[in-house]
Amino acid sequence: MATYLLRRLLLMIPTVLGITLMVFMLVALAPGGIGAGLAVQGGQMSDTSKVAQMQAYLEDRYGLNDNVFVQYARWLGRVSPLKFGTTPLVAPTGDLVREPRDLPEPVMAWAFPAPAAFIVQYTPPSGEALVEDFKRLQREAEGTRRTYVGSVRGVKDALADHVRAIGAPWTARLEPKGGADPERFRDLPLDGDAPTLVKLRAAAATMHASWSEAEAARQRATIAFLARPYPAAGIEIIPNAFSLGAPDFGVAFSRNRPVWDLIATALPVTILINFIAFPIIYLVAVPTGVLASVRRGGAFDVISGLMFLLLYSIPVVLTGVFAIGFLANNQYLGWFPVSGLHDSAAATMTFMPYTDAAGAWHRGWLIDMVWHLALPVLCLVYAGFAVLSKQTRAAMLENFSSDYVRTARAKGVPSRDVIISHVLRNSLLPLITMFVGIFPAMLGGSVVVERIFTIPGMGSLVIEAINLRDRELILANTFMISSVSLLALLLADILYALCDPRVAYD
Amino acid sequence: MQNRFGLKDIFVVVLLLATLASVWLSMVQKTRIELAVDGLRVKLGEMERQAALFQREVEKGFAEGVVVQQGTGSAAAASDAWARPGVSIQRWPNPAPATDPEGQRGFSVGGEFTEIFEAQPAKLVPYIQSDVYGTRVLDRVCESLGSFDPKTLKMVGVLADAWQIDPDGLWIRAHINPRARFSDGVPVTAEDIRWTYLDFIGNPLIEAERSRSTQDNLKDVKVIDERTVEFLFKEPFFTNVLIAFGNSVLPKHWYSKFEPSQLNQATGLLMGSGQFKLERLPTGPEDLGVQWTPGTDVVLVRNEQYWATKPSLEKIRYKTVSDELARLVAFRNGEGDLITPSSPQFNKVTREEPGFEEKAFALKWVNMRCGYSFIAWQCGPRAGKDLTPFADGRVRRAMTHLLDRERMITDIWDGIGIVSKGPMNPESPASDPATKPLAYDPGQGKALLAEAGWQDRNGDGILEDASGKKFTFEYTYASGGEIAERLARFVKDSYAKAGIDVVTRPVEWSRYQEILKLRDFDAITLGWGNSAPESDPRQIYHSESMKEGGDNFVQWKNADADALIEQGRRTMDEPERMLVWRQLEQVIAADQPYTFIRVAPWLRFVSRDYGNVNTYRTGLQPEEFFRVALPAPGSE
Amino acid sequence: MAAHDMIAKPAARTLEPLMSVEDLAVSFDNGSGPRIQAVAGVSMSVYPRQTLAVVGESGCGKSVTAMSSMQLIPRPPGCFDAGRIMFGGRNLLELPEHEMLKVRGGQIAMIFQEPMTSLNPVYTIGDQIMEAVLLHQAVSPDEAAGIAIKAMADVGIRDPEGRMRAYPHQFSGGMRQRVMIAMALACRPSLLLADEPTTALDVTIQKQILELLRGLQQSSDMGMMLITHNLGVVAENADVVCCMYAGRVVEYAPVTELFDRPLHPYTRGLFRCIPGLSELRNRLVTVEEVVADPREYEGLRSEAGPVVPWWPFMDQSQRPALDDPSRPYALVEVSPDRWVGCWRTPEVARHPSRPPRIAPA
Repeated sequence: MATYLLRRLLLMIPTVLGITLMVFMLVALAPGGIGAGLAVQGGQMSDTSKVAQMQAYLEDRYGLNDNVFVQYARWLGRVSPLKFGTTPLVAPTGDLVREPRDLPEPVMAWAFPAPAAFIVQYTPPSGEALVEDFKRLQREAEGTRRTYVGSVRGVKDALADHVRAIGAPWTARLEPKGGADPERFRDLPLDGDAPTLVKLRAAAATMHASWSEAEAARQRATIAFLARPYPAAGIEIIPNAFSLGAPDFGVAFSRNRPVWDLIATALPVTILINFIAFPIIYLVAVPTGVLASVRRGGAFDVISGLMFLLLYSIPVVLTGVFAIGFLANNQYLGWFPVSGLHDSAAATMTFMPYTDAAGAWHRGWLIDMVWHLALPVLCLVYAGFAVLSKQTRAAMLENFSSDYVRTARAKGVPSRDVIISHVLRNSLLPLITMFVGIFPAMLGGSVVVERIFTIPGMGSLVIEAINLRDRELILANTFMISSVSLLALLLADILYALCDPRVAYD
Repeated sequence: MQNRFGLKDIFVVVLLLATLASVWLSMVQKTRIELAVDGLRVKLGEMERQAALFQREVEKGFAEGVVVQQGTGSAAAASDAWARPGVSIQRWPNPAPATDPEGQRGFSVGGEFTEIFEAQPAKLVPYIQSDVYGTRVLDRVCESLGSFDPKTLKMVGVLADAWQIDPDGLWIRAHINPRARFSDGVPVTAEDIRWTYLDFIGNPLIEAERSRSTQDNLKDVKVIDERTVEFLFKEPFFTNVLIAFGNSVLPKHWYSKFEPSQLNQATGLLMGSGQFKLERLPTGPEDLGVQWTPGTDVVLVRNEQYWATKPSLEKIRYKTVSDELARLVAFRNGEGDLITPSSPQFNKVTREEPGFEEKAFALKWVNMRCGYSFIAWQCGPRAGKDLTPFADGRVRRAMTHLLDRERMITDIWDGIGIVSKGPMNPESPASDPATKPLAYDPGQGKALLAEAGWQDRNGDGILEDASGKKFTFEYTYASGGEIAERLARFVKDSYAKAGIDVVTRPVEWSRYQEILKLRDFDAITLGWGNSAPESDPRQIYHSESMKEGGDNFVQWKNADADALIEQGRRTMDEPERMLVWRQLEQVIAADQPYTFIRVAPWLRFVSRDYGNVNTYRTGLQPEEFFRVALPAPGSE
Repeated sequence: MAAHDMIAKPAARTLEPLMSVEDLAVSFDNGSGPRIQAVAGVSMSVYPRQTLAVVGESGCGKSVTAMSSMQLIPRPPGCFDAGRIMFGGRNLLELPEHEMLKVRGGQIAMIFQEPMTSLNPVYTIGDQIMEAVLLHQAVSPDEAAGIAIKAMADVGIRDPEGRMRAYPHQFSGGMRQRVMIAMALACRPSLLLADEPTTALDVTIQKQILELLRGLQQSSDMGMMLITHNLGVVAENADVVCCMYAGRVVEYAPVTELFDRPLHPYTRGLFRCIPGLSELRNRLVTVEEVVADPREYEGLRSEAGPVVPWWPFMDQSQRPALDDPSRPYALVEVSPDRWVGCWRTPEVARHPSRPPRIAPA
C-alpha cells in the first residue's frame, strides 16, 4: 500500500502540471488573451499616445508580451520549490525581491543602430547604507525602465504614423489594431525629410537615450542586489544557481494582491459551507434511499423519489430568489438574513448566546453564523439528494437479491440486521465513488449560490479570474482545484481499499 | 457485525470527549471575556458621544470667532506673501455642507448610515485602487485642494483657501487653509502635496499606473512655503486645473512608513483629512493585520479631529449584497439605508407600493456623474478593409432620425431616462440647453438616405444603392442582458420599417474590447460614464485618437471638431471654454458619429430615517445626512 | 461405505420424524403474469440421522419446498396455499417472524448451491460464522470465536485460527462450501437442508464434501434433506429418495428399492436413460419415450386395487375416472414403505394412504 500511495502521489505531479498547462493555454487562446482585464481604457483624461505607452508598460511589467509557454514556464519556476537561477532575497516586509530583469532590445536596430553596450562602475556600500542605496536604485531602475518601454512604444507609434503617411502598399503590413510591428518593415526605405520620418528619427534617438539610462540604472541595481542588501530567500544549495524555496503563487494583477491571500480568505468560506452541506446531503439521501429500497414501490419510495426529483429540477437561481424573496424578506416570513455570513455587528458579538440583564436574548457569533449559513446551505444541498438517494436505492435493490443475503437470512439474521449489516454495507461502495465527484465541485464553489447570497468564496474568485483573464489567479486556482481533485480521487481509492477487502493495491 | 469494542476504542472516545469539552469550555470563556469587553465598549461609546457634542459646541464658538476676525481683515487675507504678484487670487471660505442640516426638524447627532454596494470594493488604497465603490469610500476620507460645488458645479476650494491660476495655463499656485488637519491631528502642508504627486503617484514602484498617466502633463510640484504649493505644467491644457485640484492629498508622515510593496498589496491603507476616517486603521507596518480586507463591511467613523464643520453622522457603513433582489429585500428589512435599485425595481416599487415613499425617499435625477449610451456608427473602414454605409454623414443623420428615442425610453427603460443629444452632460455648462436632440422624423430620414443614394430600386422593401448593393449592416451588442436584447430588437424593427436590413450580432462582453480595438463592427452599442462636469473630448472624438490606444474607434474624422477640441483644450478661461464645447456639441450633432440614445439618471432609495437627503448636481452628499431623532415618548 | 449400511445400524430412536411436509402447496403471483403453482401438494418427511434425497429436474419445486420450511419465500408473490410443515410439534408455516428467527440457523440450517457468492465479501469468515453462533447461543464473543474455530476444524479447514481473519475471496470454491457447512453446523441444528451443495464443484471436491456431510451427520444425529439432480450422488449418500415432478411427488421409496425397482414411469425413464458403460448403443433412451408409452402405466397395484401412476401429460383417453376432478392426484402407498403418485380414482379416494414416512431401522 505504501508504494502504491507513493506512486500515486508522484504521478499527481505531472497530471496537475498538465492540467494547469492546458487550462492556461485555453485561457490564452480565448479572445482577449491573458490579462484582458488589464486593458486600459483611455477614458477622457488621457492622451492616446500615453495610453498606448501605459499599456505597453503594464504588459512589460506583468510579462504579458512573452510567448505563452514562456509565461507558463515562469509561473512554474515560481511555484516549484526547486528554484534555479539567481536566488531571490527576502525584504524585511516579507516580500520576495528578485534580480532586476533584463531590458528588451531596442527596436529597428538595422535602421537605427543601438548604442554600444557598456559596463557601469559602481561599488555598493555595506550595511544599512546598502539597503538605502538599493531602494533608491530599485526605484530609479523601475522609473527608467518605464520610460524606456514607453519610448520603444513611441518608436512603434511613430513608425505607424509614417507608414500611414506613405500609404499603400505599406499600410497593408500594419497590425489589425493599427499599430506597426517593426519586424515587418525591415525593407522600408528611411531616407528623406518627410516630417513623419523626422519624428521617427527623433523617437529613435529618445529610445536610445532612455535605453542607456535604463541600462545603467539596471546594472547599478543589479550590482546592489548581488551585494545582498537583504538575506536570501529559502535555502541556498548552490549560490545563485540552485536553491530550495517556498512556492510563490505571485500577485493577481487584476486585484493587486498576492494570490495566496485571496485564496486563503476565499477558501475557508467555501470549505465551511461545503463541509456542512456535504454531510447533510449524505445524511438525508442515504437513509432515504435505504428506506425507499426496503419498501420498494411503496408510498415512501414513490413520494420520496418524486419529491427529490422535483427538487433536483428546480434551478438554484430560482430557489435562491424564492429563498430571499420569502424566507429572508421581512414582508413575508423573514426568518433568515438576506446575505453575507455575518451580521453587521458580528465583530462585537460574543461567541456564545446569552441573555443580558434586561432579559433580551442575544444570538452570539456562533448561532449568528449558523443562521446566516442556513439559506446558502439549503440552496446547495437540495439538489444533491436526488442522485445520491437513487443511487443508494439502486445499489440496495441489487444487493437484496444476492446470494449472501439469502445465506444471512437462512442463518436467522433478523430482517433489519440483514439490511443494515449485509445489504447496506455492500451498497456503500458505489457511494464512495460519488463522493469523489463532489469534491472538485466543492472547491470550485457554487458560483450561483455565492453570488446570490454575497458569500466571498472560491466560486466568485474563480469566475472573476477567468473573466478578467488574470493569469496568476487562474493558474493558482486551477492548481489548487486539480490538486484537491486528484487527492480526492486518491482518497476514494484508499477508502475503497479499506471498505472492500477484495480490493488490494500492491 | 460484531463490534470488537476494546480498550483502544475507549481511549479514543475519551480523548474525543475531552477535546470537545475543552473546545466548549474555551468558547464559554471567550464569551465571558467578550461580554466584559462589550461593557467597556458601551462605556467608551458613550464617552465619545459626549466628547463629540462638547467639541461641536466649542467648534461653533471658534468658527464664529474666526468669522468675526475675518470680518476685520484676518491673518489669511493680510499676508498674501505666498502669492505671485500680478495674478488675481481666488479665495474660498472653510468647507461647509451645501445644505446646513442643523436647523432642520429632527436633527440629531449620531447614527450609523449604511450604504449597500453591488459589489465588493477590491481595495481602499488611494491611487492604487481602481473601482467605483472604492472611490465612493475614498471621497469620504480624503480631500483634495478643490472640488466641484454640489449646486453650481464650479470648482471651489476645499483644502485650499486661495489659489492663483496662470492665465497662460502653465502654472497653478495654491494656498492651503491653515486649519487643515489630517485625521490624526497633523496639519496638512505643502510638503504632503508635493510628496503625494511626486513620491506616491510618481513613484514607479507603486502600482498607480493609471493615475500616473493622467498627470503626464505635470512638469513639477514645488513647495513655496509651508502652506503654499505650486504646480508647473508642460502644456497649457484646461485639464491642468483638474490635475492640481482633483487629486486627494495624502499624509506623507503616515504613508511613508510603508514600503511600496506593502502599499501595493494593501487593502485598507486609507487616511486623509476628510470628514470620516476608517474605523480600523493600522498605525504602521507592524500592525498591517488590522486593516480592512474585502469580504467584510467597510466602516467609517466620524473624524473627531475634522478641521471644518463636522458631520452629524457618527458612522457610515458599506455593505455588499451582490444579488439585485436581495439588495431590495435588505433595504426593506432595514439592513441598509441606501441602495441603487435597477430601473424595473424603481418603477415597480414606486408605482405599485403607495406606502413605500412614506418610509423611503425614491430619488431619480440627472447629475454630473450620469453617463450616456449610444449606437456608434463605423465611419471608417471596418477592420481596415471595407467601408460601411455609415462613412457618409447623411446616412448617419438619417439613422438618428429614423429612431424614435422617446419611445425607446418608454418601452425599453420603462420611462426612466432622457434622450441624449450629445456627449456633454445635460447638467454641465458645456451643454447648451437650447440645443435639442434630432427629432424622430422618418420622412427626413428617408430623404437623407435617398440623397445619399439609397433607394428601394426594385420594390423588395429594402433599400439599395446605385450599384444594387442592399443596405444591410451588422448591429453588434453585448449578449446576456435583457435590456440589450430589447434594444437590439427595437433597432432592428425600426430600421426594417425604413427598408434597412439589420443583422443582430450578440457578442460576449470579454470579446467586446477586442472588437472595439480592431474596429471590427458596422454599428455597436456602448456607453460612457462621467466623473466631472466636463471632460476632455480628445480621447474619443479627435482624429488623432483613431490610432491604437485611442478610443475613437468609429474612426470619425472631422476637421472642425479637431480644431474645436484643440482650441477648447487650451482655453483656460472657463466661460470661454464652455462656449467652445457648445460649438463642438453642435458639430457632433450635425455629423452624428454616434446616435446618442439616453442619459441614465441616478436612481436611489434612501431610508427616511435620515434627513437632509438632497439631490445635487454632483450626486449625493452623505456627509450631510443626519439621523432623524425619534420623537420623545409622550411628545407630538 | 454404501448407504444401506448406515440404515442397518441399530438405533432405538423415536418414530417421530424431525420434519414432516404434509400436502404443501405454494404458488407465486406477482400480479402482472399468470399465477404459477410451484408446489402443488407434496409430502415428505425426514428422520434424525436420515438423509432424504429430493430429486427432480429444474423447476419441479424442490428448492421451493426446502425454502418454504424456513419461510424464506418472499411473501408477496409467494403464497402458502395449503398444507403444513410440522417441525418440533409446530407448523412452521404459521410461525411468527420472531419465532422463525430462532428456528432458522438454530434448529434448521440451509446451505446453498453457489459457494462462490453465498458469503458476504466484506466480512471475514470468522465474523460470519460468529454471527451465526451469537444469534443462537448465549455466549461471549470469545467463546463464539472458539466455537467457530472448532466448527472450521470439524469441516477440515487447516489452520482455523489464522483463517478466522481471512476473507471469502481468499478461499477456493470447495473451501468456501466447507465454510458454509461450518457456518450451518456451528449451532448444531437438528436438520440440515442442502440445496445442491456440490453441483458447482468438481467431482473430487464433491466426494470430499459429501463424505464430510455424512460424517457430521453421524456424529450429531442430524437429519439432512439433500436436494440434487445427480442420481449418482443419490445412490452414494441417500437413505430415502423422493422424486418430484411438476410440483408433486411421483415416487417415494428407500434408496435401494428405488434403484432396484422403480415403479413410476418417470423414475423408470430416468434410470433407463442412464447409459451403461458396457452397453453398445446407437441411440439413448429418453424420458419422453418412457412416459409417453401407455404400457408403462399398466400393472401397478396397491392394496386397494389397481392404480394408474399420475402423469400430467397423459392423454385424456388413458386417464382413469377420477373421484373428484379438482383433486386429480394422490400419493399412494403401493407396498410398505413405497409410495407412488397416482391418479385419485374413487378407489384410491376410499383408501387414503398414510403420509410418506420411512423410519430408519
